[in-house]
Amino acid sequence: MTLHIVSQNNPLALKNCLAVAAADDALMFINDGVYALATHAALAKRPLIYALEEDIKARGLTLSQTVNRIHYRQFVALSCEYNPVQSWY
Amino acid sequence: MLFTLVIHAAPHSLLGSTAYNAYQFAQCLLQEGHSIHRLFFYGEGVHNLNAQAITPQGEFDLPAAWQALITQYQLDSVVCIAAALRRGVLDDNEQRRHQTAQRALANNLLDGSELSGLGQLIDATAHSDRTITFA
Repeated sequence: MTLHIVSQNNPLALKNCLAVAAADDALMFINDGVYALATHAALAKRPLIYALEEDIKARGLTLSQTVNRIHYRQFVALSCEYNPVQSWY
Repeated sequence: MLFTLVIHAAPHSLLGSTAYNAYQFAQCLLQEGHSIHRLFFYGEGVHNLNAQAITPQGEFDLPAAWQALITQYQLDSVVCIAAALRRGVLDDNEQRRHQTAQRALANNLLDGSELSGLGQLIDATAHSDRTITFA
């Protein structure tokens, strides 16, 4: 199972990511990538969505309850649990 | 677990730059007992190791933080040589190679890192459990 990292507010990168992400893959949103969670309602219906709490806070976003807000410790743990880890940009 | 981190982003704007994410990720994984096989700075990421970049007072000094982390954990830190030369990040050898009477150059790669080629990235991905790209 793959961990997909979305780090930019780039619609094309997100589209490409969602086109190949399997149902049991996890999606990790960091940096400006977290804006996608505020603008793409369809993402909220997907399980296994994670985002860095501090990057959400820094951008003042209010997000759906289904997003798992995590810190770096859990981000590191996810990158151990999943293989490979794919960044989209 | 053995990690390689690939850093594509310059450090200039902390919140808009994944270089700061990469630094925090590196610091956290080391604290968690994992190891780093190699840091590979690529493209705009080479600016993270420019000793001539001055961070304004009161801002987090990311190049200094990288250097401290590299020194503390004796990390293998490689900067893509082609990307670095284009952006004016030179080590001692390259400074001497390219300096002329008309053009004074600085040796401005922060201590603890080395300039090398993409082969070092291939080698790192082959020898690590995980390669994480911060773009």
